Amino acid sequence: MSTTDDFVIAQLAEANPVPDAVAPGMQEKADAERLLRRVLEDAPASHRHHPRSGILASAVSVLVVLVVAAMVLRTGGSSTTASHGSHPMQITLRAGAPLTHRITQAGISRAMAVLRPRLASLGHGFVVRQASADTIVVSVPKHATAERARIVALLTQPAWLRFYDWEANVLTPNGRTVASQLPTQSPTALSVSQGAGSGAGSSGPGTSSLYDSVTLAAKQPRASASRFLSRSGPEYYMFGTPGSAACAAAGAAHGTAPLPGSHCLLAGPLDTGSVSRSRALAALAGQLPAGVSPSDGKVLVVPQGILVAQAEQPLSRGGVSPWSPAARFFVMRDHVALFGSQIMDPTAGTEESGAPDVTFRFTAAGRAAFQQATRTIAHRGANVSRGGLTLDQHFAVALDNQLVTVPSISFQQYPDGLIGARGADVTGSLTAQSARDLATQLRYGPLPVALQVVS
Amino acid sequence: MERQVDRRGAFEELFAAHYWAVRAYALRRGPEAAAEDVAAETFLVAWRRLDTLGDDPLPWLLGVARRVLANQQRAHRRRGALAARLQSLLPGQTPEWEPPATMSDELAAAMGRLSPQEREALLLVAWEGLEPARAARAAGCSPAAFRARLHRARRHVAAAVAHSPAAPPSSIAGESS
Repeated sequence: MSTTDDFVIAQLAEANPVPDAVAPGMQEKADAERLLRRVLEDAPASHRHHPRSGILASAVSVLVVLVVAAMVLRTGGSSTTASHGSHPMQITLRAGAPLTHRITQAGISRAMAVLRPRLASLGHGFVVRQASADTIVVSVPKHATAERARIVALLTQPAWLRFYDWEANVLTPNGRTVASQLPTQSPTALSVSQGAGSGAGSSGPGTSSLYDSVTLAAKQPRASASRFLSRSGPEYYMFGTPGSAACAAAGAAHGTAPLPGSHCLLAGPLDTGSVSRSRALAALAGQLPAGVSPSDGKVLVVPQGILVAQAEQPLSRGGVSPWSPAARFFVMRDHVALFGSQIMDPTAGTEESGAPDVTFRFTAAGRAAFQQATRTIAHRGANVSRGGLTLDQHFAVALDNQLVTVPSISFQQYPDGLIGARGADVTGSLTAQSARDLATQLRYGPLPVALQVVS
Repeated sequence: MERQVDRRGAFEELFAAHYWAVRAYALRRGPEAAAEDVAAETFLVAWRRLDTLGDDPLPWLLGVARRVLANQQRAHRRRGALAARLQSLLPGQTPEWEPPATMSDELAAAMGRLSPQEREALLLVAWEGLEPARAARAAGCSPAAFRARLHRARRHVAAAVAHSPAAPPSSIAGESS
């Protein structure tokens, strides 16, 4: 190679926009792992001659675009969308992000990469495309138009899965954890722990309305930053006074009837990260229903380290909306034992009793965290059980701050917790369809940005 | 079932060994938004052809990624507005070349005047670090054809940069004692 040649190659190498020496970051590694799962999910399917799912759906979408492009040329460019014919319905989504982050092209791209396989679980023919910097349009094929509600749920459910030591995190109205009150056998703590017949984590003892829960949560001290937190920074809510015009407007906006004598949610919850209070309040005001002003509401701020979780309920469409005045909530400390990123291969199925479930395996770190958490839970169960009273403790599974299931860990059967070698399963409040959807959402990871349906 | 497990294991090894190179290849040539899809489609093709891949699959993978990227760019142009579509059909338009911000104007202009095949030959060597024989496999041509492309490309870029004000010395003198 001549000196001049060396110079050309050297100049080009110097201008390399992605040098090999740059090590991938955590997010990129997570993206790679997700992408491998995505490819493997599609690859065996193509081997079995089911050629139109996941990645291949994008090939189908390209074909659709080509057909549309041909139509445009033939008709003089009067139509550029796929909203007619095989795609009679379109759903437009707008991306939002925590106030501390701006919406990036990479975030939108990752969101689309998550949405495509989620939709592919409903069959082929969906087209996902970016319409603007923060807008995604999903064209729904004819065969799926009857399932709009399910599609919207798949498109907008963030799908952040988290596991908690239940008794160590859930609070009673006095602001203390249940675990701290079990040694004295506090009746309230006992009823929250054991569920008093309705099962731990369900809409029974220890639950309250959203307003009462947020009020209790707002009184708790802020926790220091930690890698075990699910949220960094406070969370803002705005409530209207009982019987107010603002509550009537909010009820109309959310399709719920205000409960007489109760406060209603006007805006939030809003995860604000580390932005100033004034900026957070401005963002909260932006969520208010038409005709409602900030002066109509009362702002409550849940500090970092505390979360308000909706009680366990069926995840099917018949469940209680978190916006409903009938929804019940727990106040919890936010110390996550295991994150959704620490599980692998989520698969929908049925357990021995025939109930729908989602099984999964753990990553190495996930397995260690699961072992540690269940060991702690089992040991506490042994310690607080006395006088013939067996007080098995619990492990809570939450999806987007909604409890999915709160199973008990039998300290007699598993005195040192569960080893998790063969993975675990989530069951309890799932229907066959919601189990399939949950498995799909977990398989492709959470949405990197919040998506709201705008039309 | 055992064969399927072996196949999956082999694929995961292939992915672990070459995913970052394929992704970097896509990132260097296209928008960040497209890189993941390019990598996904490339490895999907690799899964189907897993039994036929040789001992050195990277050049083949980069060749697949190149074709996937080209298909994406074509599809993207078709998805664009009619004006953009017409613009791409105008005679004399050079194929898409979006130099990275890290490249000097002179070098970017010189690269822009190359044919896509010549440009790719230079970049496979300079950015992907491939020897010409492996780069030829990635480019989908014979080693002789690749060497000819590479030679032409080097000559054109060197001449163009040599005439620019920012050109470096044409030769490097020995260090003084």
